[in-house]
Amino acid sequence: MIQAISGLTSVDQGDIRLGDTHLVGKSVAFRRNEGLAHIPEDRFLWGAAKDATIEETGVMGYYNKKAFNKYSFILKNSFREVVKGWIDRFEIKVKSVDDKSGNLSGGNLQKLIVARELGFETNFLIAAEPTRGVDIGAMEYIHEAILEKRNRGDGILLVSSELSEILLLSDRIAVMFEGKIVDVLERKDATEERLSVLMAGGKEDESSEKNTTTA
Amino acid sequence: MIAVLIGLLTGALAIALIGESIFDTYKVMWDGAFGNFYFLTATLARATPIILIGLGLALAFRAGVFNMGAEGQMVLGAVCAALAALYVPGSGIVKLLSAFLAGFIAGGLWSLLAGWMEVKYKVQLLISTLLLNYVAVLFAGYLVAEPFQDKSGSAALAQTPMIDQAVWLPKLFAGMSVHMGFVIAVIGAIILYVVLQFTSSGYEVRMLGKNPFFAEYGGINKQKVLLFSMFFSGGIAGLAGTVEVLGSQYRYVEGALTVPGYAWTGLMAALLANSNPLGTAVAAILLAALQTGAMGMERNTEVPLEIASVIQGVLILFVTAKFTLSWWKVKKKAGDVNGAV
Repeated sequence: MIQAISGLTSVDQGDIRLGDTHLVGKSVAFRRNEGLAHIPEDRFLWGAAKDATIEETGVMGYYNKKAFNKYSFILKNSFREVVKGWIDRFEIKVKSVDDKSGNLSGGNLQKLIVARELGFETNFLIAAEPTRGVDIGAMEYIHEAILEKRNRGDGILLVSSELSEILLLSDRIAVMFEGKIVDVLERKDATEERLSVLMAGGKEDESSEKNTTTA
Repeated sequence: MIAVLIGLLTGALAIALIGESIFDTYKVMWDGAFGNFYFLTATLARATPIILIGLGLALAFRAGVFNMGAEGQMVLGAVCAALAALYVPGSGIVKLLSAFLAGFIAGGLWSLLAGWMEVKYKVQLLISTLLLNYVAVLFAGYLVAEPFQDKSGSAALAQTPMIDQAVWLPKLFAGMSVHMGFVIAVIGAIILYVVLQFTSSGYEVRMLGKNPFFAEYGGINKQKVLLFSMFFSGGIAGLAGTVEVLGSQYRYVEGALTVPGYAWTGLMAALLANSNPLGTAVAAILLAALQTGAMGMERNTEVPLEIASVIQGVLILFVTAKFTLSWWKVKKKAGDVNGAV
């Protein structure tokens, strides 16, 4: 479902809209420009390039924006400031922005990706397993950042297999089983037990949550 | 770098087996490559097409695609450049520019064909580029053996007529074989380095090579970047053929580009330098030096020319082992992609 929305998989039928814009059949770049940010499920496969420097991983999606691009040259110096800002804000532990992304710990790389995607300041964000395999400290930073974004009125689609994370962050919870949404609950009606029952029978625990601020 | 050392050590072993002094032999080899101004310029002249080939391949490798078709792209570029220089009407400068354009476009389109087959029909680039070499080389051979053969001389060699002197690339030093093409190659290396390192197109190419999934996720149009990389990669290989024709052969002679193995030496230069354009240029000069040096060595010692091939062979072995390993890893990763819900 995430790949269908973000444009990494093509869709045969149905409709995906962001605000009033139809997204089906559009490229990833188009969707991103329309205001879609995406924290991917697998940070090493989709979210970063291990052999690229931290700065290079960070500049993805920014390099062709006007503020960082002049005559198709990437303005490294202006961008470097932005990356340093992220590093300060999320306390990402890096040796230098020229270090390889693959040398970062999972939590620190995840914080970098979260910072990058939040930095687009889009009104819609997909957060897929945003805290999988990260340490508690990083998890808190990421949760805080996601809630802060929600409180600004932006829509967030959180997909997580951690029930506690879903219950902590969500306003509205949709449970998926075997590829279909089986039920949508308000946060106040949802308990771990109810969700578990809805999810029962699935080989993998998959559930998703949708914020109500955008439809 | 380790590969180079091991290569030289193996060479030393082979020299010792023949019973010559290792140190003296390498000394003679060095002299043969850089010993005096004449040898130095001969090395640089030999390095010229190797640098350009290496640059084209470096670009393709940076984008994560295996272009093994440099030979065909170079030969087609060369033959088209020669024909343009011969038959495009106009003054010398017009002919010169159209020759360059023809060489670049011919090589580029040939490479693009393989890229298009990959994008459209999933024909493995490694295979298609390799096989297209034969098509290109034999087709070029036909062109100069039949319709465009030089009929003026008594011997019916498979070559085009000589091109007009006004279209020749000037020599850098009178009487020396190094020509303007070398300058073009070096400028090309610098331009490619800057483009790859500092521009957004270069960034897209590099990210595609480093992690195609990340590139796609970030909104880079994978197919477009792949096709562009293939076109320019082949185009630069075509330029290698062009400068050889305009700078040293002054006609397209069948086999003149394939027999010295420029394409494969260029491939090695790109691999040795890990596809860094500036490093590729340096590696290309070193490999050319190895070859010219070996010629000098054969003239002056009992050690045969083939020692250079021994060293190169060992180099290839070690460099490709490393390269194949990383390529394998990427392929494996591609197999593991599991869709998120």
